[in-house]
Amino acid sequence: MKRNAPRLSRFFSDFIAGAGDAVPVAFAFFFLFAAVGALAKQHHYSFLQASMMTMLVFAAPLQATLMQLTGPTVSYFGVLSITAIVNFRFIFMSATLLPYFKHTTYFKLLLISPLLSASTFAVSYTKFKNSPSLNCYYYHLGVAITSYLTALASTMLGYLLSQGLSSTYFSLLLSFILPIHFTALAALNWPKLLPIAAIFLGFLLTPVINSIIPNWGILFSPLMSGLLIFSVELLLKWHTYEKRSV
Amino acid sequence: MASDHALWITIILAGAGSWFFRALPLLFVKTKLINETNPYLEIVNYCSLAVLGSLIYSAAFNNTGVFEFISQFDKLAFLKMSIILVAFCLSCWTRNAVKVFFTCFLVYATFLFWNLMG
Repeated sequence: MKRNAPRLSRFFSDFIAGAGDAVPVAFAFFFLFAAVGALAKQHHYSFLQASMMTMLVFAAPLQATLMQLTGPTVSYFGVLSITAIVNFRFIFMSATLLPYFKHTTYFKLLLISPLLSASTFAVSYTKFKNSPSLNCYYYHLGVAITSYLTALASTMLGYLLSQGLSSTYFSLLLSFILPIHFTALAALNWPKLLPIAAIFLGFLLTPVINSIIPNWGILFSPLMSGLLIFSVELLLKWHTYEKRSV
Repeated sequence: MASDHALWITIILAGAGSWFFRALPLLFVKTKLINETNPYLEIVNYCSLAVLGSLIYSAAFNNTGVFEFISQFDKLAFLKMSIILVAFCLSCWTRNAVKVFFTCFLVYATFLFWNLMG
């Protein structure tokens, strides 16, 4: 019991730090998933179906898209294709976080992998880079569980109180919560110029790609930006190496 | 409206697909990615940061194309762009994302209320 005490206190301190940093995410998710719950009711999903969808999918953009698409007939191939397009980004996020979970078992990682979202990724990744002594697993658990439970509770609440959530003011407010939060988190990469350039390029290329292939910007823009910035980094390294050798 | 059965299959398929994309790097390439000198990890890092930029644009401006964005640029779009810029600068300066988030959210909510009521 005594031997476990430091480990337990470490768990609580890092878990609570994660839960505390997830407050803005929880705030954003409260509105976002309440709207998802309201949308589910509008599209004739049952309370259980709406809650299960948040439990299993936990990605508001995908949930909203699927609800709007499920008409009298459902194309399962269409469901899988949309899931792939909207959620492809999780591959990058999951792969980026993996090196920080070196000492975590496969089983634990498989258990928390459904709790990954763009917001939990942004909070955890920013913290991991700046806090080398942190237990990343406990911290991420704090961020993810807080966000996940808020999302679930808000979906249920939104479903039950769906009529109060349909005003123009509310929907305009809602659409801008996550961009503010992501911007505030993204700026923490300052003064590292290449990461900031990657974020900036991702922002700029999305509308350009959307004009060429509508709605694919979210998939191709990060890929192109990542490759471009990596090439710039290689060029800069090569240039420095050349200078030194001369 | 789709049948109850079809909705359940949709939910399960979307859930399985979402889990697959989240767990894919873990299932297939964990050992390679954990090696910090792996150059692919650098590319993935930049891609995931670019996803943030891409999400900021898509969520704020309804995932529109560049021509649509320019033609529909109104007071609200200007307000959003300004808040994004202010949030970015404030966060660089204060290094406190939580405070910046709440400050900018309040400013946006106030301006929006003022704009809609006016």
